[in-house]
Amino acid sequence: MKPLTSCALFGATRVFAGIKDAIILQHSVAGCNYGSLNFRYPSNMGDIRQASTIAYENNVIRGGADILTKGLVNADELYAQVKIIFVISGCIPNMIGDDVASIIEDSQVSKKVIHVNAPGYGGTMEEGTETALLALADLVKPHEKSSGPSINILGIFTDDPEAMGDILALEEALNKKVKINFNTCMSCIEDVEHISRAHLNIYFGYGEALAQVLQRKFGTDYLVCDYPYGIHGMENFLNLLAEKLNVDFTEEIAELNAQGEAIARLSVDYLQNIYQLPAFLIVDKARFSGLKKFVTEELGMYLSFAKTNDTTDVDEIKNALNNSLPALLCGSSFLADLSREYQVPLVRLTYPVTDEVSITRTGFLGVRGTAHFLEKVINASLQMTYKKDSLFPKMRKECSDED
Amino acid sequence: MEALVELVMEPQKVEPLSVNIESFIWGFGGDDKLVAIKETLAKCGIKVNVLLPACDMEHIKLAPKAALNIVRRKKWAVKMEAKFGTPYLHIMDMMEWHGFDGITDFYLQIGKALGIEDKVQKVLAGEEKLVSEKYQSLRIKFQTKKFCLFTGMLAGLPDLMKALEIDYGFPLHKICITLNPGFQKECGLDDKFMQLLYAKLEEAKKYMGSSADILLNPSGAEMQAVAEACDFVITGGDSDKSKFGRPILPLYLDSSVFSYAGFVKNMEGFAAIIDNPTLTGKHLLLNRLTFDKVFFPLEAEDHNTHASREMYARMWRKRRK
Repeated sequence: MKPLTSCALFGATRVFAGIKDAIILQHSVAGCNYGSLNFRYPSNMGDIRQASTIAYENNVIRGGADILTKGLVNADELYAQVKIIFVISGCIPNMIGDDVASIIEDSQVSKKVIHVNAPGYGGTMEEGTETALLALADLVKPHEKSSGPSINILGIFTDDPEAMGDILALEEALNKKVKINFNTCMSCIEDVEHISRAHLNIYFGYGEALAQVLQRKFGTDYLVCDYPYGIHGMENFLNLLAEKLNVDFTEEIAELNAQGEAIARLSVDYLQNIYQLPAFLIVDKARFSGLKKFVTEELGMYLSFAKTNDTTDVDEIKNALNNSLPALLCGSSFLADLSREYQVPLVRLTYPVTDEVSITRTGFLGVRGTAHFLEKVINASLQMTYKKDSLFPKMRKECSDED
Repeated sequence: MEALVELVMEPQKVEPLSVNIESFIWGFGGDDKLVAIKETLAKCGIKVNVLLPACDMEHIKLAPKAALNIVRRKKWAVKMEAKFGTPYLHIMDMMEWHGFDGITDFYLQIGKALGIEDKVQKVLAGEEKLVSEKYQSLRIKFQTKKFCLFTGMLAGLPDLMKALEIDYGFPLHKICITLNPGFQKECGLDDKFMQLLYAKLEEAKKYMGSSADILLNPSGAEMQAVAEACDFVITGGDSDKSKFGRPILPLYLDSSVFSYAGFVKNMEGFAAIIDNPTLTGKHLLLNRLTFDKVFFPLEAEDHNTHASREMYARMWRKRRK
């Protein structure tokens, strides 16, 4: 089995990585730190606020209290700018029974410390994400609702491909008529504390449990939305918000459609060439439904294989490829080998993306994002090396074997 | 190719059960087609001598060893027959070899040319038996749905109808033909010939036992009604058919193959869509543009591109001298 997601520790790390005045201290082995950092390659590598207690073999025998204490004291001293330390305890401390809560209390560091128990063997990446999101609820303070309509966005994480671009695109689409009060991609502790100010919590795939707690504690309504890919996808999103928050987006939707026509005009030949072609879609649950609709309803492609990345694995995808080749793969960098082997273009749309960066922050949402998405699809197809073994490799091999 | 015949190939002792296959222009999935042909012929005891010209010079010299050439283009084969006496089977139109009967005919013709028709017949019977159950079950599945065909074709339509109704087993309920209004003039066809084309369509319908109604140049409302009366719309790449709100069965899933198993695989591609119909194109980006009704995907108001098309037609396509 070759999974496409990771473990609970990774999931928790992804949530806290989006809080820019926090430090993540993984109480675990070095590999967890390396892996979770490596998978954040396309996001902001100029701002590393993640460390590890580097559990060794002797800690397995003698316990991890020393190294956790040392880690907390060092983090408290060295990360002068941060306001909170998120401790994520991984497999080893849980297996050996470290009393992390007591260790934290005894360390007497000056910064606030929040502990999340997320051993890799204990849960999936999705479960770790939800656990970490729930942990944020304890930091939220009661506030009056903001004067103008505002939303919190849960489910876009800082190491999602084009995450910041998508947040900027959503801001642009909302056109100051609705403010984004908090988002899980790029925020600070003060934003977390002010989560209660928003009128509505929007979650894309992740964050339902947190949204339910926020509704119970602060009366904030919540809504699960399709990730608003495409022109029609964004139009739907704006219409949902318009209804919930009593905001008029008529002008914005008209402009969206006008620009949608312009994109269609610029890419008509390419769109016509991909129409009805089969595609595989393997993405996270935040993106799955929205992408499925965009790819089928707006691009007109046929999804011959479509699953969330936590419900399938590389072997199953390989079997599907052996059965019937698609024209396009939509997924993460984990599909790059299959893309090369089967000569099917890959568009990287979901975490983890480790072999592509985004500096322009164009995103995949809104008008520019839709055009960007199309560019990725078309360029991936144009740049794919087909028939790299020359013409008729199978036939040549069979003929030369006989010779 | 003719130069290879004239200047490279050398006289050889003919191996009775061997063929050359021309390597070019077998279309999408050409490699798989050639492998399928090679494997089926091998079961009949027929060897592929040379894949022309996808081989080295030494092998091209040995080409006249083959007892038969299987070719896509005729001129070099005629020359080779004249110089070395090698007969040829010309695969001009893939549709001629479409479906189980087309595939059977292909191999029987090779068998006949090499004097082993009976043996080939036995091998084919065995091959057919391997996929027969799946083939029949898919045909039964297709019979449970109603299909309409939207096309701009006229001359090639009988072949397409045969492929869909006879070879695959799709019961066509309606066929909507939207012709280019300039088709007759551009092709230099008189009214008599046009009547002949229409008559051939009716003849094809009768021959196939098709009960499809044929609508010539239907209006938008008529096409909408046709689509709504069916479960699936069969069409090529015209994205505007998605506007009818019915699942599309794309014609690209049909490709010429040279094995029964390959044909059943095509059928499985169609069956996957029938089992999981989705409305692809409900909010198609392409449908935000207004296309010319005949020359898709030219935009209706794109005068420059229309002018370019006409320029090409006048300067090249319709050139007589």
